[in-house]
Amino acid sequence: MPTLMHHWTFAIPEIWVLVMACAVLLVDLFWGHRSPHLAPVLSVVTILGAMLLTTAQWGLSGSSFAGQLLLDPFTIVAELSVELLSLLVLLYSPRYLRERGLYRGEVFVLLLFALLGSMIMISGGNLLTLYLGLELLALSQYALVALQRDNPRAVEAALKYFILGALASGLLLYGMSLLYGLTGSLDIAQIAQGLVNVGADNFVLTMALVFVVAGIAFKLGAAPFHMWIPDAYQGAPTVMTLFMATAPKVAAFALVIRILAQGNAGAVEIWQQIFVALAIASLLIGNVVAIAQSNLKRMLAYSTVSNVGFLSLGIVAGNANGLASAFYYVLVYALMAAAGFGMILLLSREGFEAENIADFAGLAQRRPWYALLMLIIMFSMAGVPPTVGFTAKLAVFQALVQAGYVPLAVFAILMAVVGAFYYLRVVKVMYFDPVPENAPQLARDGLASAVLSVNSVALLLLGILPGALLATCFHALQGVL
Amino acid sequence: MADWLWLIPGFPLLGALINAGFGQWLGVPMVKRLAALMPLLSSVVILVIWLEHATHPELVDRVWTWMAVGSFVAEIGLRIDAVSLVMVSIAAFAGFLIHLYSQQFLAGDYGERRYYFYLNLFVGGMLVLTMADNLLLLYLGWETVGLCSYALVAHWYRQKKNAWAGRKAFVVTRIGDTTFAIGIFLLFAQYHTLDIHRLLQMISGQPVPSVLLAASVLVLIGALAKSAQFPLHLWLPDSMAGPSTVSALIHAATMVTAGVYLSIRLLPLFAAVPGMLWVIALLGAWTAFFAASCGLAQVDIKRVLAYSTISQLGYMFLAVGIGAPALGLFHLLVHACFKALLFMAAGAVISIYAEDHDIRHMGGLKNQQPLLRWTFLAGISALAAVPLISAGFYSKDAIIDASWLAPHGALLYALALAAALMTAAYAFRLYFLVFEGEPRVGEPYQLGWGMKIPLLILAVASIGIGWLQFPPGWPGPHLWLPWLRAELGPTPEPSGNLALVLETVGAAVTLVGIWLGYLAARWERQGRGLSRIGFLAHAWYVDAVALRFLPPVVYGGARFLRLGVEHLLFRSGILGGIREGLQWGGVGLVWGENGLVSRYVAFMGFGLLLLLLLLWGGL
Repeated sequence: MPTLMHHWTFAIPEIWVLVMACAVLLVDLFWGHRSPHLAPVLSVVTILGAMLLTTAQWGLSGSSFAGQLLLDPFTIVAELSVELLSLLVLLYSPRYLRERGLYRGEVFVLLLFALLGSMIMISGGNLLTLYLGLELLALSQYALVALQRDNPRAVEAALKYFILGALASGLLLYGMSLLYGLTGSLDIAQIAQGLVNVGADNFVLTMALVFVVAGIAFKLGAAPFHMWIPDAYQGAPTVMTLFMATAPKVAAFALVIRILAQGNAGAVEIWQQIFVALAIASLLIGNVVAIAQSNLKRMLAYSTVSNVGFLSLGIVAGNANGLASAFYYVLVYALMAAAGFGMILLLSREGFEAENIADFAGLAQRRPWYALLMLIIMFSMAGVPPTVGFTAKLAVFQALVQAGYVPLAVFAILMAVVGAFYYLRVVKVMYFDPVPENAPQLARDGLASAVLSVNSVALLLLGILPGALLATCFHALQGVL
Repeated sequence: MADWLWLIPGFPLLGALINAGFGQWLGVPMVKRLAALMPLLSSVVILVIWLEHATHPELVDRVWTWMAVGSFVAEIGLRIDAVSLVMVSIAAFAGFLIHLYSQQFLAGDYGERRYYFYLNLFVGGMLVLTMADNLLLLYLGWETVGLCSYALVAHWYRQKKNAWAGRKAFVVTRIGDTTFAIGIFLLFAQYHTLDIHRLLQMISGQPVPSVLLAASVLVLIGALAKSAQFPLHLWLPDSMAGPSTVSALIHAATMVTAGVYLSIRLLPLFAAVPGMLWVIALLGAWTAFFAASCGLAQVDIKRVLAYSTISQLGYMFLAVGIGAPALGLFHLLVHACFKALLFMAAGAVISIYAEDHDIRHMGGLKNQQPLLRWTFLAGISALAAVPLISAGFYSKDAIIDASWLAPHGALLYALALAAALMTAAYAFRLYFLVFEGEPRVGEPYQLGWGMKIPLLILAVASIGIGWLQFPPGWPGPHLWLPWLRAELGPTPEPSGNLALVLETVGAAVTLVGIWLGYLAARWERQGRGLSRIGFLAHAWYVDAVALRFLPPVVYGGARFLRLGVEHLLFRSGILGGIREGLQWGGVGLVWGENGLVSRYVAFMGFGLLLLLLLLWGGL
């Protein structure tokens, strides 16, 4: 039995973030009006500290608090990535938030709580813990979407997100309760053991898994549970869209690992089939509808759906190889989405959101460096070598073909071609369309443009040198399934 | 293992990178010096290899595994053996001399920075090409060289014809590039490796005749296009539109030798197809003959040299084809020296005559420019293969003599010998017209040391480098062929009385050719020269015929593809259907996503139901 000390060391990043989030809340309450930079700086310190603590756990593994929290390589890699993505959000955001009067302590506190929720979703080893993390993340996100209370669009988006999210939580809970009924336990490891006696052709098990997967698919944004994504992405302030498109996706993927791969390894055929359907629907809807969008945020929202389709392909493969490639894909996608929304954020000004594709017309003449970065981002999303988007798609397709799903792979590649159309259209608009006459002045934002440069160049470098990250993902998911 | 081999191509590529990134801040003088320094540094590294590993060079540097997918491994691997050591020495050192010469020659030009960027990239690409240990990397260098040649030929792009010449060079060599790429695909599909050594081993181990035939023909077309062999030589005379230093670089140190190098490197591939080598030999001999005949009637100083390049490359292919690649490589080395010299000197001559290329307007330059005259004469002697004293005699006549021993050798020999006669004639016709005769004073032109040194070094090399390998049976050094024997195998050489006869005939033919050249120069001055023979002056009308008949066919085909296949079939038929379908599908789906929460919920519930039915139906 691990000692009490063990429990604490295993859970220390989560505890640190929780304590610091409360501290930031209090500090902001008393001194926030005098020094507005206090909360953001403290938040950055919190995340850096969390990254340090997570890294310090490298090599450790085990469970704490009676299996409530798990520590394994996956926990560490996934937590590091959500921390890094949250840090990116913080670094992108200051100017954008200031210009909209949102540069306030509660934003950062909510972000920290959302991060905490993501981390618990990643490390949770019990259905209840996982659900707790999920709701913590979701509630923070509802509030973050509705940050601009005077903007009817944002409020509408938040309300829709809330209603649909509550429904999805209900589906997930129903599925979980069926699992509990089947096995008599909420613990992931014990569920896995209990299912040995149940058998994969069990009627109730199938139903439980359908409901669980529906709940996860909602969080991931897989069709047909994707309806909230375009509205929420478009309505939310771009900073929050940036957050929603990145860290929570990694957290939602963690649910796949915890509940399905670890908890329901015996029923792999069932959830494989569900994900086949989800992948086909997501690829089709995401790519086809994106073509019709003139709003870049909406387009990127549908691109999220299609990317979730691609990452589902790795899950469909149904082995450690496929899950590792899906994990790689979700990390890569989060980086790409961060850069894509970061670009919108960078080009937005007070009272103006650069969210229409037409706003990018002639960008190459006005800001060649930004245009080049956007080119890298779009190429990466389209999967053009040597960007990292290509390697990610390649990894997923490889796992899929090895698992024998050749027709599905062919379909996915065709959909990738359709996808290339709308990504490359942005590039065409940037480079070949004339600058509109009433084009608004571009803002200067040293911090965000530096972060964006690093973020986009990383897409290129990771594509040229894919080995390290790919190996890390495979290491993280070794032995799962 | 030698972990520092990457330095050799690394320096010029770094130079290009620095120029591209920071050239604006460094300023042109700095850029120029830096550009010249880079190939010098590469040459120093190569010199170290010569000092350390001259007797048996065999160095490998696996720089980096770019990607490994299943059985496919793309490596950046560099390899130095005897053949590539010679090649990189030429590319780096001759490249350096050309950089040095350019310092004064192109000073004040409107595209100097761009010029040095491409020059460095050119040398870097050539070094990658020659050192690559797999076909993928080789192809990368191959394409880099092609791109740079396009950019440099069109260097003075403000005149439209120069831009067109660049385009022609690019398009014609592109034919070869494409077939070469397809050849590589075929080889990979059959043998699953791109590593040159393993590929050649597997080819000899398990030959598949049909694949090898197709692949070798495709690769050969690539080599022929790059090395401007008949009938893909069309681009080379036009490539004279670039600055003379560029011609020197393209014709001597880089680019055109790539095709010869490729055929030497992949010799086992060609040897595995019966009769292939003989075809190569015949093509080479024919090209040598054809281009030499064209050279006789040219009046543009650079066009004479251009046809001489085609002709000399023909000799190299002839050598490869008769199973004497070592001699081909030898001639490649000698040719690089004297051709770089001749082009750079020709550049100076053109500058003296105020950009007039017509040799009929020149004359008597020997008193005005003694140094230029002597160095030019050294290069011309090597080109004409003046017996005993010039390097060309030792390399070219060895090839001609060896061709006698090949099957149907008489035909090859006759073509090669006739070409040699004409070569001597046009070479000395050029010399006599420009440097002898009554003086026609041009502009005063002072050769700086940056121009003199390269000319002197290359002149010494054009005379002396042939002494590496004396003809068989002669007393004196025999270094070259034994050095390469381990790698390229034994070289056929005539011996005894036959050798004596062949050598005498060769020398006599050359001397007769020089005499004819003298006469030709005199006729030309009297206004009844060979240049009036339109058939030769227009290069047998090959270019004219090709331009008359090929474009309509190609454009017709293109129009058919555009209207018939692209518009009708693809755009309207297939893509149109898909696009319309996607568009309507998109509209339909967008209609579904209209923002009503109730509909969203219904959609979700519907999806859930569908999933359940699917799963239950599937069980």
